[in-house]
Amino acid sequence: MERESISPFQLFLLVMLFELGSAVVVPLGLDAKQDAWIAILLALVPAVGLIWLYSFLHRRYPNRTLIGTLQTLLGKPTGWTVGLLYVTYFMYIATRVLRDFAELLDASFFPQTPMMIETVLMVFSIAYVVSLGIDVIAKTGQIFACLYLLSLLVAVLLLLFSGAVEMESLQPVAEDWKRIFEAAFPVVYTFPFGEMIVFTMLFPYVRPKSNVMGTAIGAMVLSGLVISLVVATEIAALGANIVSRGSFPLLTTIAKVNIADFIQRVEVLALLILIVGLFFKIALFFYAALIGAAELFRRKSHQPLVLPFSIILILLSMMIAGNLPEHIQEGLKAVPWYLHLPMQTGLPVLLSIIALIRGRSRKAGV
Amino acid sequence: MKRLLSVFLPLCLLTTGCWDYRELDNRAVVMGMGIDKAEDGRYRISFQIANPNRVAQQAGGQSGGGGPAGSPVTTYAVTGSNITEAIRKATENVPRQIFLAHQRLEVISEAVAREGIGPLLDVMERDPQGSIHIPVLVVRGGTTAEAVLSTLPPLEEIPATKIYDQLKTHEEMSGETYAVDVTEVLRALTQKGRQPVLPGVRLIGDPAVAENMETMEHALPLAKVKLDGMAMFNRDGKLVGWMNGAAARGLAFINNKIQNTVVHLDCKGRKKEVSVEIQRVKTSIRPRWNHGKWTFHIHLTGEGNVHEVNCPLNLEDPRILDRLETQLSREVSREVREAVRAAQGAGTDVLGLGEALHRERPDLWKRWEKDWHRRFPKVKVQVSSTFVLRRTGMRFNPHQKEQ
Amino acid sequence: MRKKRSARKGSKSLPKQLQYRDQDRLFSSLEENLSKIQQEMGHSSDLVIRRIEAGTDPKHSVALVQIEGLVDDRRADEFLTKSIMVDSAPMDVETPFYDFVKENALSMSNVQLVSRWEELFHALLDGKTLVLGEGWPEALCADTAGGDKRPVTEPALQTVIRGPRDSFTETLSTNLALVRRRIKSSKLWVQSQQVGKMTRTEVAVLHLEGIADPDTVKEVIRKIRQINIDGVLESGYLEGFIQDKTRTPFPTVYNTERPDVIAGGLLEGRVAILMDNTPVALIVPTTFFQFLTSVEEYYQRWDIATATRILRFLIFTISLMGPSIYVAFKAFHPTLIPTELMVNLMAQREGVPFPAIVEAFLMEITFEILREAGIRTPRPLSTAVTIVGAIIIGETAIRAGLVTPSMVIVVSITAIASFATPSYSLANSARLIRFGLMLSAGLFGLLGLTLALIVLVAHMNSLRSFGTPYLIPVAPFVPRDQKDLFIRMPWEALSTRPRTARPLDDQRIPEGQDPEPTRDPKEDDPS
Repeated sequence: MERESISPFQLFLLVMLFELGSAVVVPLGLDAKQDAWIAILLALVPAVGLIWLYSFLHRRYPNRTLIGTLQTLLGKPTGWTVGLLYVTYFMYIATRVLRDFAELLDASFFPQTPMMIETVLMVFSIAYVVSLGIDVIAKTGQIFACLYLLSLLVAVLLLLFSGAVEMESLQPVAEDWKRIFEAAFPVVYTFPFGEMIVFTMLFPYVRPKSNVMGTAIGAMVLSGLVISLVVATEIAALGANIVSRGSFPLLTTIAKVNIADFIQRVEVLALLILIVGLFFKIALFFYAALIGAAELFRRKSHQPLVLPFSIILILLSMMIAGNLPEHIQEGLKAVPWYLHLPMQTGLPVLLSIIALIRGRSRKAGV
Repeated sequence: MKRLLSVFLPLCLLTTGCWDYRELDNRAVVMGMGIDKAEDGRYRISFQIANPNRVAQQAGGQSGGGGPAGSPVTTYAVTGSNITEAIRKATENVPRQIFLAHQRLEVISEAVAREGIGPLLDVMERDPQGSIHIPVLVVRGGTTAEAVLSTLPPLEEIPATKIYDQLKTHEEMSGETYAVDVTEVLRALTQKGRQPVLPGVRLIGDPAVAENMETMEHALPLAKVKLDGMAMFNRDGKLVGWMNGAAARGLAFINNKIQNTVVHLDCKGRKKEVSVEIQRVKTSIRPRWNHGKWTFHIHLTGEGNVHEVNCPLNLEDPRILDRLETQLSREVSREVREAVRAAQGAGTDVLGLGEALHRERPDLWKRWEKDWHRRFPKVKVQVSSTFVLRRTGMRFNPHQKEQ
Repeated sequence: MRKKRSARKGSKSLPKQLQYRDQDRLFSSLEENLSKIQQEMGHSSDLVIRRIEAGTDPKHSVALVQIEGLVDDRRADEFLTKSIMVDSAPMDVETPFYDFVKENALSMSNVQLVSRWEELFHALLDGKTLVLGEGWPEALCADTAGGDKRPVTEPALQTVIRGPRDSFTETLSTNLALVRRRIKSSKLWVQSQQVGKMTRTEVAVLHLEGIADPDTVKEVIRKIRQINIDGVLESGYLEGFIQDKTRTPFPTVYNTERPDVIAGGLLEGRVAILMDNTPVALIVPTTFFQFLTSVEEYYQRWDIATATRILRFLIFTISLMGPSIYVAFKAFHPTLIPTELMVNLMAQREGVPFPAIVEAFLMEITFEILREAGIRTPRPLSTAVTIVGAIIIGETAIRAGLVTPSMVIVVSITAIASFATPSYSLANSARLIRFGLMLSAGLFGLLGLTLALIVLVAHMNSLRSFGTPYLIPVAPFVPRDQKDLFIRMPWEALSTRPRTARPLDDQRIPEGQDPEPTRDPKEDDPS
C-alpha cells in the first residue's frame, strides 16, 4: 500500500478548518473592543514569521516530524523528553478544545444533556476517524471544510442582507493602539495562530512537497482574514460589549438574522460551524499527539494507542476545570504565557538556532 | 479496538436518556410575555401561551374532529421576584415546559419601566433560545401589560403576533414608533454615549371587554391596542419621559429608522393639504468646534414623492417644486428639533450624540464620557435637512384649478 | 492461511464422479463408454442416448449423447445428418468408417475431438452433442448448445426515457454480443474463465486494451481466479469476492443490466465483468458518484442533465436523512422551526401516543414491510397489498391519531426519494444507513446527526474500489474531473477520460473539436 499522504490543497483546507475551528465561535481579541478585528490582523503578522520558522525546520528535515527533529537536534534523551512534553501539550490542548466544545454545546443547544455525553460522543467519533489515518482525516476534512466555509459565508451574507449590521459600531477605528496590542499579544497570537505548531507533525506527509510553506502561510492568512471579518460582523451586529460578554457570540449574531420574517432561525448554521470546526481541531491535535507518541515509543502504527488516548482525553476534559469561567480564565491568563509561548515560539526558535549552527559547522567541516 | 468500540457505543446509547429530547406537545409555547408590578412589589409576569389546536384550526387547517372551541391563547400570570422564578412557578399552572424561543415580544408596564428595565434584561440575554432578539414595548396610561396581552384582536389569532405585526408595519409605513430589541437596549445601556428608547403601546377601550371572546365577533372592536410614542430611558434604564407624535418621528429620523413615512405640508395658508412620501432618509450627526463651543450638526438628506395634493398647485413649475422641497425640509427639521428638545428636556441622550462624538473625537470623548449626562442637556444642536422631490405620482397637476 | 486450508479441503471433497482414475481416457468399447457415462451421471433422466446404426455396409453402431434442454435440437440434427448419416455420399470402402466420419465432421464448424473423460463431461454439460462409436478411442463433440433462452428485453431496473432499450439476458454469449455490437474494435478484449467447481460458470472480463489500466485488469482476473467456491449463481457472488472491503454498507462494485452502461464504462477505461446465467454485469473500479448518475444524463442536453444530476444529489440526501432531520428538529430543536410551522406541528402531535422517534421508526419499518411485500407478493395480489397499505397507513392511522400526518409526509417523501435513486444497490445502503442516522438523531439531535455524518463520510473516504478512492474526484479533489460530477458539461468539453479508472490514454476527444455553426447555405450560393 502506498504511504499515506495529503495534498497541498488538502493541507490548505485543513489549516483553514483548524485555524477557524474554535476561533470563530468564541469572542476573540475583544479586549480591543470594537477594534478586535484589527488586533487579529495585527497578531497575524508575527504569526507568518512563526510559520516561516516551522517550515524552515521542515525544509531542513523534510521527512521528520517535530518529534523526530527534536531527537536529531537535541540528542536522544533530551529530545525524547521534550518530545514527550509536546505530546502532552497536544493532548492538553485537545482536551481544552474538547472542553470548550462541550461547554458551548451545553450552554446553547443542549442545556439538559450532561457534558460527559457530548464529550464521549465527540471523542468516539474522533477516535474512529483518527484511527483511519491522516489520509482519511484529510479527505474528510476537505469535504467538511467546504461545507464549513459555505455555512460561514452564508451566515455572514445573511447578516449583511438582513440589515442587522451597523458599521457605526466599528467606529472609532483604531481607538487605542495600546489596547489593540495587548489584545493581540499574546492571546490572539498564540490562539489560534500559534497553534499551527501541530502542523509540524503533518508537514512530512504533504506530497508533493513543492510549496508547503506557501500553502500553510496562505491558508493561515486567509483564515486570519476570515476570523477578522467574522469578529467585525459580530461587533457590527451586536456591539462590542455584548460580544465580549458572550460565550458563543457567533450564535447570538446568527440568531439575529431575520429577512422579512421569512429567512430566520438559521442558528443551525452556528451549530454546524461549532461541531465541524471543533471536530477537526480536536482531531488534528489528537492525531498529532497519537503519532508523536507512536514515534516516541517506536510503534509502527498509532492505532493501538487510539483507545487509551481517547479515554485519557475524556477524563482530562472533565477534570481540567470545575466550571466554564475557570476554564476560560485559565485559557486566557495562564496558558498563553506559560504554555503556548514556550511551546509554540520558544522551543522552535531554539531548534532553528541549533539547526543553523549545525548546518554551518557541517559546512565548515566539509 | 473495533470490538471494544462496538461494545462501548451501544452501551453508551442505552444508558443515556434523551435529556434534551422533548416532544412538541410537552412544550408550552410562549408567544408573548408581559411584566407588571405586583402589589407586594414583586413582578407579576404573564405568559401568553399558544393553544396550537385552536391556532391551526383557524389557519384553515383540517379540523381534527372539531377541537375545543375557545381562545387561541391562554394567558397565565405568576408573581415572582424575577423572571426565572416566575417561569419556574408558572409550571404550577401550566402542565408543560415553558418554551420561550418563539416569543414574539415582551410588554412592560410603565410602572416597571419607571423602576428600571435593567433587571429584566439579563435573563433574556443569557437565554440560549434567542429571546435577545425580540422587541420590547412599554404600556402607557396605567393599563397593565397583562391587559394588553389579553386583548383579543379582531383579525389575527394571537395577540402577541398581532402587536408584533402592528409594530413592524408601523415602523415601515410611518416610523413614529419602531421596534427596539433587547440587543439594542443592552447596547445603549452598556455605553454612555446613547440611552435606550422603547416603543409605547396603549389600550383603548374597556380592558374588561377586551379579554372577552365576543370582541372578535363585533364589527367594531370594543377595545384595541394602539402604538403610541417612544419611551425614553436614562442611563440607569429608568423611564424618564415620552416622545409623542412629531417628536417621536423626529427621533426615528435621527436614529435612521425611517423607511417610509408621509409628511403633510401646508398649501396657500391651508393646513396639511399636500402629502409627501419620504424615502431613503440618511441622517448624519457631526460634532463641530464652533465659536469656542462644541455644536452638534444633525443633517438629513432624503427623497420625497408627492402623494396627494388638495390645493391648486402647478406642479409642472420647477419653482413650485423647489418651494415644496424647502417646505418639506423645514417641516422635517422642525420635527427633529422637537425630538432634540424633548430628549434634552428629559436629560437623556436617546439621540446618540455622545456616540457620534466618540466616533469623531475619541480623545475628547474620553474626557467628556464621565459627565456626559450632565453636558448633554446643555449641548448646542443644529438641525438642517435637504430633501429632493423626485416624482409626483401618475399625474402632474391636480384636477383642482385655481379660481 | 485459512483460504489455503479450505482450498485443500475443497479438493478432497470433490464430488466422486468428477475424480478420475489413471485411465482417464475413453475406452474403445462403445458399450463400456455408454455405461460409464450413465453411471457417472447417476442415470439422470435428462441424459439422452440415441443409438444409431450408421453406414451402409457394414453397419456401424454409433451413439449420440446429449442433455435434454441444453441442446438446440435443430443444430444437433444438422450435425448428425452431416457427419454420420452420409448414406448418399459415396463411401470409400478402403477408408475406415471412423476416419471418414472424423474427417467429414471436423470440416464442419464447432466440432472437436475429446478423448478424456473430464473433457467429455465438461462438453456434455456445456450443452454439446457427443458422438461415440464402437471402437473409437475418442468422441466427436459438436457445439450445439442452445435450448431455451430469454430474448433481449427492455431493462427492468434501470429504465430511461431516451436511450437504447435492450438489456442483458441470462446468456453470456448474447450479452457479449450486445457489448461488441456497441464497441466494434479489436481492442475490446475478452478474457474468460470458469468459476465454481460445481457450477463452472463462465465469467468474462472485458476491457479496452490500450485504455484500461493493465494493473486493474490483472488484479480483476487474479481476484476472480482466486475464487474457490462450489458455485456462483449470480454476479452478486463475484461482487462479494472481489470487493476491497466487506464490512461496509456501501457497494464498491458497480452493477448494471444495461449494455450501454458497460460500453460507457469500458470507454472510460474501466473493466467489465460479465457472467453467465445473470443479466447483471459488474464494472470496476467505481466511485460513490457513479451510483448517483444515470446513463441517460449522457444522452440528454447537458443543461438538463446537470439539473437532473443536482436534483439527484438532493434526492439521495433526502432518502438518507429525511426522517432523522425531521426528528432532530422536532424533538430537539423546535427553536429552529418557524413559529407557524411549529404551532401547526404541535397541533398535529396532540394526542399521538408515541414519541416522535418511535413514530419515525414505526413508520419506516411499516414502509419497509410494505415495500418488501410489494416485491415478494405474487403479481395478481400486489394491487391488494398496495391498497391495504395505502389505506391503512395513509388514512386510518392518521385518523385514529396513531401517527402525525407530517410524519407520514416525511416518510413518504423519503420513500419516493429512495425509489428515485438511480442505483438500486445504493438505495439499499441508504435504507440501512437511514435507520442508523434516525437513531443518532433521535438520541442526540443535530449533534448526533452531524457527528454521524462526519463518521459516515470518513468511512466512505476509507473505502477503495480497486485502488480508486471511493469519493474521487471530490476527495481527493481532482479539478479536471469536476466537469462530469455535479454538472455534466457539454460533450465537447468532456475531452478527457476521468481519472477514476487511471486510464492509460486520457484523451477522449482530440483538440479543436468544438461544434461549428452550420454554414448558411445562402452564403455558398454562387449567384
